[in-house]
Amino acid sequence: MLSASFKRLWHKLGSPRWFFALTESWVKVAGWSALVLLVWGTIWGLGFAPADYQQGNSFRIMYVHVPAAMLAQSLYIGMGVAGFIGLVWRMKLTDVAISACLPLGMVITALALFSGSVWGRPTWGSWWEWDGRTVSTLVLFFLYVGIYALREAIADQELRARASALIAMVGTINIPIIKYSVEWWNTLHQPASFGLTQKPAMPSEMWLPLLVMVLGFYAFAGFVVLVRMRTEILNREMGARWVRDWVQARSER
Amino acid sequence: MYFDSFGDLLQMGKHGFYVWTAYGATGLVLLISWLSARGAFVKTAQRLQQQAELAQRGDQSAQHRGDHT
Repeated sequence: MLSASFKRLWHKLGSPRWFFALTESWVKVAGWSALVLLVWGTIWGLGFAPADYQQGNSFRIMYVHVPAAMLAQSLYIGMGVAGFIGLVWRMKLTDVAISACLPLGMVITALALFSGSVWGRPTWGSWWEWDGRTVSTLVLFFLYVGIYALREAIADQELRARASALIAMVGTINIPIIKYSVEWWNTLHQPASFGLTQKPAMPSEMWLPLLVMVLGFYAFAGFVVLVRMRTEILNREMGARWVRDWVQARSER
Repeated sequence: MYFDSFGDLLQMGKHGFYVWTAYGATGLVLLISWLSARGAFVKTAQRLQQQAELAQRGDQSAQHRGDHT
């Protein structure tokens, strides 16, 4: 009984039409939450959190660097999971998800690298260090760029979907490498500021703004990915009856 | 506020340049991501609407011709 309804839900989830209808309200919620959280977190982190006793004010870069780096990895994991589901169950929607995560993941990874570099200069004394975590994040960036280039190069939709799903899946090997790089190799990188299980190593007036920023980044990603998925669905299902009905309803609004 | 004045906030000790560069880049990346995603959606929706209108007009003129012949 349970498995039957789960199966039904699973198949529904794979239906572009159902997904499109379901996410209409999600987009608004994600967008507004992102705006509120990001503005709140930025003001808090820049103007109100106390300076670090060792790093001074440069530590405020953490409030954008850490969420960007977390999101860069999460979006890639999302692509890997979508790729896996796409290859195993042949769902249409998973390739839509990969195409939607890709551009944001790419620029967010670039942002993580850039903000890390700008933080490294006053903290480590250099713009770039060949440090385990930096290098594995650079590899992550190249994975994004590679899949992007691949998708641009393959015209056949079916082949493009399978090729990018496969690379997305295989590339997730890099994620634990990024995570454990600070433990495996001698590094300048500070260990995680944050964990689900351990208490943060800083006072709450320092990590609370970080929490707000992390939530804001994830809400923002939710917004962008959903909007991109919805766009892609419209493009792919252009001739479908329900799309025409939606266009009609939209013009009457 | 942690800082005594707006000038202090801008200067951030000696780290103003680094901090503001990082936040500026973040703002830019988020803004561009938002605009391009939103823009693509609106553009697609508008294109579909134009197509629908063209199709409708085509139907109407076909019907019109049909009435007179």
